[in-house]
Order: sequence, then structure tokens, then C-alpha cells
Amino acid sequence: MDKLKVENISVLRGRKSVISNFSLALSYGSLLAIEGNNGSGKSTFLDALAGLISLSEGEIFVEGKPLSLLSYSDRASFISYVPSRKTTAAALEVTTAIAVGDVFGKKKNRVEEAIQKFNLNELQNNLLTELSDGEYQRVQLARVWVQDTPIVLLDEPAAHLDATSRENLFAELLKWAEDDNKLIIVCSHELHLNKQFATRIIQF
Amino acid sequence: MKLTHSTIKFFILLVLLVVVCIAALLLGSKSISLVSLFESAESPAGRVLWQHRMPHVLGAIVVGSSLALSGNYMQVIFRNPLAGPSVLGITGGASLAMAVIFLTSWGMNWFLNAGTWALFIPAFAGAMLVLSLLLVIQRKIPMASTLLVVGLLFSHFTGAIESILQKMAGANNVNQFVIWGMGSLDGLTLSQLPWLFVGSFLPFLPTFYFLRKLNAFALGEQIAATSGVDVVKLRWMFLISVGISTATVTAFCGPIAFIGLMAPHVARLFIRSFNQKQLIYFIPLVGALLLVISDLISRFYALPLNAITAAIGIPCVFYIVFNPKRSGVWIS
Repeated sequence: MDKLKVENISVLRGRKSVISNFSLALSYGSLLAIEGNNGSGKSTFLDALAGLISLSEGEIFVEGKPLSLLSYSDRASFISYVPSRKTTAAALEVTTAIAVGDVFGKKKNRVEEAIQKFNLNELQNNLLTELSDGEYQRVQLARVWVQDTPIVLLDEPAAHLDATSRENLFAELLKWAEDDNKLIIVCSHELHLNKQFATRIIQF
Repeated sequence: MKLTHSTIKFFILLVLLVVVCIAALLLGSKSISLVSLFESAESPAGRVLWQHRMPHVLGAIVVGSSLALSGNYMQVIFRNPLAGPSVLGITGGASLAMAVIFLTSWGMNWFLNAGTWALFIPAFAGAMLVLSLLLVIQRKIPMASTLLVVGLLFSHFTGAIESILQKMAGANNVNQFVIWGMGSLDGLTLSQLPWLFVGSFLPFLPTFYFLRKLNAFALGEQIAATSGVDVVKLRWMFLISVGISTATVTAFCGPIAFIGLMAPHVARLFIRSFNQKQLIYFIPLVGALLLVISDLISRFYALPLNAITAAIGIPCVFYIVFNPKRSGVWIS
């Protein structure tokens, strides 16, 4: 069954139409790669799925519920989001940043688990500003792993990684989607990796 | 392990504050002995203690901790380590309203007769006016950095109007305004302290329940919103508490610079954490400590309070600028 339905959405940025009349239906347990040139509207689409921008037309449905009518906390139980690195870096230590995935304070064990699982033991007291790009990416993934939503959005997760790490990341994402029945959506310029790992590719 | 470490640090800070407070009660233009702390309020030493030093010390604790919390919240919400109440134009708004009272003589007599607490009314009106304008602008342009620039412009704008009013006002009025504008705890009396506490510290009480969500803010509004934080509502809850607190402090003591900017950084370095749930115990203590010390130096050498806070605060700003990663400069 289609868990995420995008129905005829249009998005305007100022007067410019960035997305017009776009539809899509997706189910859990898959890795979707979004390809497209810079400025083609990939990130805008991700923002729309995250509920961060308003649509000028159309609606997005998550498990049958219209996204625009959900509260922040309801939305956060369905969708988690990792923006591209250039827009986020913050002064928080690693442990606290991961605990942001548990903003209601109900999953303390999962935060501990995430630190082990993502191999962040030695970094847990470092500030995010002190991390390398790869380490930072691991923290972000740990955060959304704690949040544990059925839909995970990642904006260019491989952009700052070396070739081996990129391949590992994509392999892990696919495994995560299949093992835990998630819908993982990535914006990615890595065409060969998309081809190799993604369950489905769409062009923007 | 970590918990006990921070508990020890908390008690170190608390003991330090108590020691500094006792020193501040005994030292001054005329030093008094430890024994006189227990003398009656009618003796000469008792009078100095209860009418002059006690309001200074208790006032410094309340004002310092409030300014420190204001600065901390603003730095997190605007994701800018150099933010503080004065940067957003809130102090400027309060100050402009006070300038109108002091410099145009409108209602001046009424306010002077009613006592210092009455000055809270124009200061609060000025601060909330600026906050409301920021709210309107923020709805149009929702970026935190834009709001910060607008806040800076407000500060310059209110400063410009103040200078026009000063140019037109009589020498006596200008004198009073300039003295108020220097910022000082001199005007405080013991009977005012409860009001000062209610206006400057109590507005923060509701915010203590939302510190986990405030941590999410530090990761940026996109992440906060997708983590389940109602960013708009939370931002304004924090900023309104900052507005009320800053207005109260400004009305009673004039604009006091740098404590709000500096105290959160000192606290973060001291406990080596940016976790708001831990910091919240330390930031008010550090703010109180810094202001009690500044006020003591200011009284001891008869120097303006803001000159002392600036002398301590400016090196702190340099530290932030030269150690961006360690002091948490946000890249955006």
C-alpha cells in the first residue's frame, strides 16, 4: 500500500514556480533517490515533504493523513529530516545533538544505543563544530535513527564524503530501509550509486 | 560520573558566589567588619549594610542571573553567540521610552513621585513595542539572522532619537538621563527587590519546562521543526520572557551591558557542555557572580558599572571571535 502520496503539488518561491503539478506515490521498505541539476527543485521538494514550506496547490498524505493538518509533533512521528551540511552546524555536543531525536524525552535508551550503533563513543563529548564531515554525518544519522520515523529524508548525505564512505553510506541506507521497513528519500548527485542501490530513481 | 562532576562544579560556583557576596557586603568606600553583619539595622554599620550594600548585592544576584538567562536564550534562538538583550534592540526600545520620560518632562513628576517601579511601565512599553515589531517582521521574513539585523537597526534608530531628544532637552534632564544610561544598582532599595525579582526572574519559570526543545533549536529551525518542536510558538514564548525581564531590569537599573552576552559563554566553558538542561543550573549563577563582582569593583573604585562589565566582557568577545569552534560559532 502507498504510505506516502504526493498529489498534484505546486510550490512557488516568490513568483517563480519551483515545482508544478507533481505527483508521486511511495511505500515503505524502499530507498528513493532524487536526481536533478542544482536549482531544479530537489531540496524544495524535500522541504515540502518535511512540511517546512507551504504548498500553493495540492496535498501530501502520510498514511492517509494530510500533512498540512498535522501538528509539529504528529509530523515528527512520521517524518525525520537531515538537511545538507552547509545549512546546519551547531554548538551542541554529540550526545545532546543525538538526543534531539528524542525531543519528548521518552527514548533515553535509544540515545545510548545510537551512540554504540553509530560508533560515536569516543566523540560523544565533542562539539559538532569540531567534527569532520563524515563524523558529522554519522551524528545526524544517529539522531534520525533515534527519532525512528517510517519516513526519513536526507538532503545530499554523501556530498562531503570520500568514495568509500559514500558507497558504505548508500549500502547502509538500503539495508536500513529494507530491514526496518523505512521509506528513505535522498537527494543525490551520485548517479552510479543511485543506480546501484536505490529502489527507485526520479528526475527533477 | 558526569553528573557528580557537574554537581561538584555547581557547589564550587555556589560557594564562590556566597564568598563574593559576603566580601561585597563588607567592602566598599567604608569597610565594615564581619561582626557587624549581626548588628542591628540602626547602628551606623548596620545602616550601611541594610540600606546600601544589601540592596546592591541582592539586586546584582537577581539582575545578573536574569540578564544571563536572557542572553543565553537569545544566543540559542538566534543561533548567534554574540546575541544579547541589547543586540536585539529590546534594551534600546526600553531606553528610548525612558528617554522620552527623562528628556521631555512629560509625566516626569508623576513618575518621580510614584517611585522607580513606575518606570517599568514605559520601559516595558518600549521593549514590547520593539518585540512586537520584530514579531511582525519575523512573520514576513522568518530567518533568524534577518531578525538580528533588524534588531541592530532598531538599536541604532532608538539611539538616534535619544540623541535628538538630548540635544533638545535641558541640561538638568540630560544629566539625569545620562546617569541612568550609565547603568547602576544605586537606585535599588530593599522594598523594590521583590518587584525586581517578580519582573525579571519569574517570567523565565515557564521556559524551564522546554529546555529539551531548546536544544533542538540549536541544530537549526529546520531540524527543530521536523523533530516535533512548534518553532514559532516556542520562539515567542522564550522571546517574550526575555522582553519582560529585560524591560524590568532596564527600568530599575538602566541598560547594563555585556553580562547577558558573556555569562552563558563562561558557564558553557566551565561545565564544557552546551546542553541546556545542564546549563540552566549554571548560567544564572555565573551571571549573578559576574555582576556582584563588577558591582563591587564599581563601588570600590567609584567607577561606572558599565565600564567594569565592558572591561570584563570585551576580552570575552575576543575569545569568542578567536576560538569560534570551541565557543560554538554557528555556521549558516
